[in-house]
Amino acid sequence: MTPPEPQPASNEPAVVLRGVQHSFRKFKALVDINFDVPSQSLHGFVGPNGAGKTTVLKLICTLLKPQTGKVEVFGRDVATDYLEVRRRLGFMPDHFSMYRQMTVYEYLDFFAAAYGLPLETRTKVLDDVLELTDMGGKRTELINGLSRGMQQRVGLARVLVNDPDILLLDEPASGLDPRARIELMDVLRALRSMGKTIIISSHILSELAELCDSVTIIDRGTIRYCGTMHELLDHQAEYPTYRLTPAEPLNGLRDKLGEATGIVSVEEVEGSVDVRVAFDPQQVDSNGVLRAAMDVGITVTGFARAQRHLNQAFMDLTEKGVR
Amino acid sequence: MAARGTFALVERAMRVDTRLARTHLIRLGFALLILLFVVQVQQGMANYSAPGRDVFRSMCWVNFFLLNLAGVSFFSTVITEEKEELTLGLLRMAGISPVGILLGKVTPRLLGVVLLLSVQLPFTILAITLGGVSIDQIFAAYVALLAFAVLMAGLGAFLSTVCARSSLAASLTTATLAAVFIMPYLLRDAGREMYRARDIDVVTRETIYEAAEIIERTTPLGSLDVILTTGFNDSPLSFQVIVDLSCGAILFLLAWMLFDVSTRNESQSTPARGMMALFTKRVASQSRVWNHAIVWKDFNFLTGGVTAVVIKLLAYAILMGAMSVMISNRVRTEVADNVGATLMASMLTALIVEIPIYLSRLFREELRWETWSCLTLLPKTMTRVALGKLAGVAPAFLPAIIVFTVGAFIAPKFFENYLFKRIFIREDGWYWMLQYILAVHVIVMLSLVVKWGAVPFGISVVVVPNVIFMATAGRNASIVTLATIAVCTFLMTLFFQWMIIRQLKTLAAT
Repeated sequence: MTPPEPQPASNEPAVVLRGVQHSFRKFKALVDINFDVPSQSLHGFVGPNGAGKTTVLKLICTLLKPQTGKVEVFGRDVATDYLEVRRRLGFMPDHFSMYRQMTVYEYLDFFAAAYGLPLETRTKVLDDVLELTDMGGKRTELINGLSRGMQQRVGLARVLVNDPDILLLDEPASGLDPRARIELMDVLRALRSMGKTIIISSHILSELAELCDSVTIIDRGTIRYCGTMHELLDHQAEYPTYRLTPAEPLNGLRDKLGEATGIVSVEEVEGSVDVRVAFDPQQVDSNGVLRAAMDVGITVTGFARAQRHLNQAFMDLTEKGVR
Repeated sequence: MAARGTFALVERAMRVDTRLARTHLIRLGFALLILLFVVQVQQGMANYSAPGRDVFRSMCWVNFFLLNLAGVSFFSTVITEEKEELTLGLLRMAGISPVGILLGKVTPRLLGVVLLLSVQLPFTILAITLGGVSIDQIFAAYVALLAFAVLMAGLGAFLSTVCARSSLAASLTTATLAAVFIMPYLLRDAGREMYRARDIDVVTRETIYEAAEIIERTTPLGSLDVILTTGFNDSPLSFQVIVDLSCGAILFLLAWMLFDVSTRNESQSTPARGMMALFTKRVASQSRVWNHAIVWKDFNFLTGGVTAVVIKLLAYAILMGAMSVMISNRVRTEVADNVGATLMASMLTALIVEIPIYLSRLFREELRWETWSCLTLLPKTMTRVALGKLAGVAPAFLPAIIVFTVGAFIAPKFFENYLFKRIFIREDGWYWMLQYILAVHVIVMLSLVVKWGAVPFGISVVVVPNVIFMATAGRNASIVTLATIAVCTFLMTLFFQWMIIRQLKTLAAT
């Protein structure tokens, strides 16, 4: 399982959800869910607590049967073709679902055998996944004695033993220390370069923004956004916004700039001397904004279209409070 | 603060209990059971000299049986469940003292038992009307049962405080109760044998007999018979009541005293590796998982693997060997038949006990350690997973089956003529086997929905109505009636099988 060269993302969607609704008694967990996950992509799946993320993941991995609508994994219906879907899929739940009384090797060997891998193949596969997750040195250790980060790696190794085409990871980085998180992200990048489709549900948005090709934002059981990460971050609210970097703090010049023709707002960027300048494109263009800044006496060292952070996009697209 | 904490715990437990449909269904079931007694007695009024007393006697024995079950499951987990969920520390941090926690946990359960007993009160009045029992006897019987409930609560509080796990506390409670109930018989036997062998004199023998009687009188097993004798006119505060209340209080105090020591180090409970622990370093790293992985897992981690099977076989062989020697010393004729019969009867009993215990753990352990969803994500149907798990625990029954087979070889005539033709065919053994299979299904189903007590509760749900039926109308039931019940039992077993699979699917997604 040595990482091959990165492969271009395929156009065929790995996962398709159409008109999916799901209720738990009277509680509507999902309301008309429609989205696709491109094949061989690293897809982020974000939403507030109780938004319906885990329900969607459970529907995709066949633990739940869709009440209405259709869920397909590589063209296979999860309701009818669930055994085939399970063969091509690896799901890592958000809780530590492990046989902690086993050693690392026993645990992985158990799942490899349960997936029907013959003994002669298992040795090679287990060596590969242990190497990929950097757990080779811990193979004879009891899972119970491992740290949380190590257990998370074992969990990831477990979902890899059957060489699945698609990985569903529910909060894989929760509770991990920074080093473990960074290492986990490296492993995920390596897996993506091996052509796996990875759906990752996480609350750590900064890492998702850096890692994912595409993203789905879900809130209150409905999809608020589904598309590429670039489009989401590039998407502007009402007015185009540029980030302006002055040579020194603006102080009074900020108000002066705000009074210039077509400028809608000038906001400070927390933790820097930079400001975000929003303008009305009907009245002025970006060149006009730059000219106005220099006219009021600002020495500009940087001026570029401002991208939203995923945090901001998340806040814009989701509602306050819990269901 | 401690009192407030105690009241908060009691109030919460009572509120939760009240909201659960299960609580009311159990009470309803209990009331229906008693109604069944009354109907049975009413139908055969001519055969009873004191119908009211007979109804009340049945009620008392059912109560006693259920109190024992409560002791094993309901009371013995009172503190261990908090330990297993790592919530004991939170209670301590909330400023609730050890006695507050003990009282707060034990009181609601004791009140639950009292409420269950109080359901019967209207029917006891019916018993008086039917005749043969007085209000004094009823009062004394309930005092005796309540005192026994206090003893069970005290024993449960003590054992669940000192034990780390519910399973150990429940096992020790069972062992204690078994010892108390069997002790008088063992003492009498020992006294008689030793006197025969002239190892002791008549005075010592009588002292042993007296000791046996005192032990017998400490439980309702001895006192209820006295209370239900015609003309009973003693105080309700009998020897049994005083001993049970005192022992209950002493055990509770001991639990209080040992609470800090026993609960100081809160550690996360982890699944046991069992006999595999012996091989962690030496063998496990080299041995490989079988191609039938689920069978391998459950064989090694649920039953203890080859080591546990061999140890159990040796233990059974030694025990049965010793019994065979004893029998051959005592019996002059048909030694082989007697030895063979003993082996078969003992192993049949062992199997009857072992099967529900293992099967109740089959899925419970997966749910407890949250591994069930991962297992169900394997590309296998639920039935195949379940069958794999069954095949994994099956070797645990091999020792008993092997010793039973040896017994059948030693006494083939006993096996054929007595055990098969007489017990199984003529004396409704087949009927009881069907009921047993149903009971096992009920136990497995219960193990998916309750945290503890699946085995005793499952047994009581199936066995108690059957015992009552067989003891009354069933004695004279026609083969058609029995066959109809058997068909219903079979259908109910299929229904429970379907329910188990359905529940397993639901639990995998939660």
